[in-house]
Amino acid sequence: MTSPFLNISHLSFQVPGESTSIFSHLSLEISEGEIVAIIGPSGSGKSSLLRIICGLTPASFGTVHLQGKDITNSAPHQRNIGMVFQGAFLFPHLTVSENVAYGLKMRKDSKESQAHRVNEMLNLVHMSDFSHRDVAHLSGGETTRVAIARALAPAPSLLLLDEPLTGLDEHLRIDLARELRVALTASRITAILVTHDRNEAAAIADRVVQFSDLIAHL
Amino acid sequence: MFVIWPTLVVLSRSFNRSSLFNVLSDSQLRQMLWFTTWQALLSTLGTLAIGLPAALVLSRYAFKSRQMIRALTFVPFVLPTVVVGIAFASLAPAQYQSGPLPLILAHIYLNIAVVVRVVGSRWEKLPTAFNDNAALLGATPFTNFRTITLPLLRSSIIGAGSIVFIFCFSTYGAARVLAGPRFPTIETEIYRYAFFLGNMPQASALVVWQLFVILLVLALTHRQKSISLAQQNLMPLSSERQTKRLFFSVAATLIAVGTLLPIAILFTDSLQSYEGFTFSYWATSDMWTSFFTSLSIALFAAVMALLFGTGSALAIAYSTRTRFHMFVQALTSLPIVISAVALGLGYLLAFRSDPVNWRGSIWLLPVAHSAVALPFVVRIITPAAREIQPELRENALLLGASPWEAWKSIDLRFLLRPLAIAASFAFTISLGEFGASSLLTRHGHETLAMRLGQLLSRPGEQLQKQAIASACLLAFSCIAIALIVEYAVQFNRKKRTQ
Repeated sequence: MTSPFLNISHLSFQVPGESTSIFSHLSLEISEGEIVAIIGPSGSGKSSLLRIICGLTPASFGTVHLQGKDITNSAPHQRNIGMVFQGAFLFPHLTVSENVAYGLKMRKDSKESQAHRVNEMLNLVHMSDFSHRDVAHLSGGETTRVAIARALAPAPSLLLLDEPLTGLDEHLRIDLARELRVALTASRITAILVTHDRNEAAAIADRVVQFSDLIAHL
Repeated sequence: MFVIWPTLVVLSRSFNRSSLFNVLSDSQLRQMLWFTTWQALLSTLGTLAIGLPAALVLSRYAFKSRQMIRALTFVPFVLPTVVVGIAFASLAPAQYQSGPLPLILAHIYLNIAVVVRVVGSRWEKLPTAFNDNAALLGATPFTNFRTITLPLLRSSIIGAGSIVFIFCFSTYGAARVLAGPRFPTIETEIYRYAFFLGNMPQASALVVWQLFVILLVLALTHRQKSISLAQQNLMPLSSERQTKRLFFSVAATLIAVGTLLPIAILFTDSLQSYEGFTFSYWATSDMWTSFFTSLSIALFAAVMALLFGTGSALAIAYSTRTRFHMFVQALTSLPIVISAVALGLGYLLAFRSDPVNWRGSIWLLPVAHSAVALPFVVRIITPAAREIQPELRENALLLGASPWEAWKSIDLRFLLRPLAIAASFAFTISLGEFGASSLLTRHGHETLAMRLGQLLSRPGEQLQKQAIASACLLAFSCIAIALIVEYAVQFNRKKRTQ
């Protein structure tokens, strides 16, 4: 039997100094190329789970294996995991194309290869006309598109999406959810989407799971 | 009248070409100018090297004692420079008690607060998500700092650096105590030429050179493009990894200890004589007379600075005409550009003949102190006044309040905190003011800072210890005022939220 692409086992998270756990004994397995949506109410610990997977927050207990490798204690920059945060957080001192190229520069890609990949990614999210734009002048939807392109550009093994469409108006959310699904499928990337919107989850993901169902009730 | 006129008088005196160019042709003056510049440059780099990590520790994560330690870092900035000079002279081994090294270290100690405040306030607004994103895109911690943090902090680092450079370039109190006669600075030379040698044209020429360098620095560093960032909620340090928590705790403790250590050593020194423990250096009547003179002058100076400073700040904040508020801002910034000794020299030259013959007037010194404090008062009140939404005042007017009632019930309530901080700032600046006081103090009405300077210039263990006790008294007064205002503000805030 082959091991799952992402294997989260008995993960617990407790804020140091506080007596109660945010969650405990959380387990999840994801296959390669699968897009999984985790839904649950605000404050249940969905975002904390994503931060633990990508290494920004340490887990209190449990393990995270990616492609069979234990990454529980690896530094975030060594994990090759991309993330789109709620609010996008594009680097404000860089242009649209410089934002998308950031991860490629870190990978030390050649200038030509960077330019080619940036173009490809901006095309994918329909933002190729905006490459030299100052990110301060982008709308909410455009910002989200660039954030997705930036996260996908270095071809991460796993993409985490933390409520990426929150704060956008209804129509735009529906359109972007569709576009996001296309972009993720085209990239053949394994992804976890965290959201509280059931419709959004269904539009983007292959599989939708309730956050509470991931926790073993011992 | 009390800023521009004296400045113009000083400038007009220097248009004696030979004095002006003498600074370049005279090897000793040239050497002095070079020393002033490089010690200011090294002091600035040193302040940034220590201030940036301190700003990082105090502005990235929320932890229990953060606010208290942040307030502590401000203590050296309100301490009189001459007090810090004495503290560093008594801390250093005998062979390092004077010269460039202790002077640079004292400057670093004095100015760390500038970096912590200016850069720290910006750093607090930098969302951690920027660095998180960069890390996830493959940036190592160093690359992350270089490519994300540094560019976004650049404007504040350059701003803080230029302020520190100007302060260190115009050093006087610390330089008088620490640099020694072998290493004069431009400010001590202005004083020497004006006061001891009576060579006013040469003193004025040095003021012009000082102005030239300061304006050059301002011209090179102003108008830094800055991306606006909104206030962020700080992440709790407790949610970070243990190694990071340990690093931040140790660093925060070091900052607190490093801030208080020089004052604590100074205080224990003031209680020791050959015969052991003693309070005798604290019991001299001269010290307490000078202290009460200082308090009354500081009170007068603080009231004056607050009146003119608040008026100017409100004019800047309420004005919709850019040119007008730029003019007022430039006018009230003049005392930063023109140093305290130069201002004192301006007062000596400008107010010595009828109808403005005010030489020896008892009120001239507090007026000079208020002029020195004015830019700080304006800089504290203006941003707070700008943040008050005019709609609040308009609502009050629509609800039947008169313009005065509307201003009192809305604006004044928002301004109480900055007003209290500005008043305490002006008060402490006056308490420790040494530059203008050196030239304007009347015999028999010496402030504590002046008495301290006089004691230091005389030999003898007894007098040196009295100087140290005076320095402690000044330091404790400044700290007490800062703490009283901080707690009064906190208390008022708590009362309002209850």
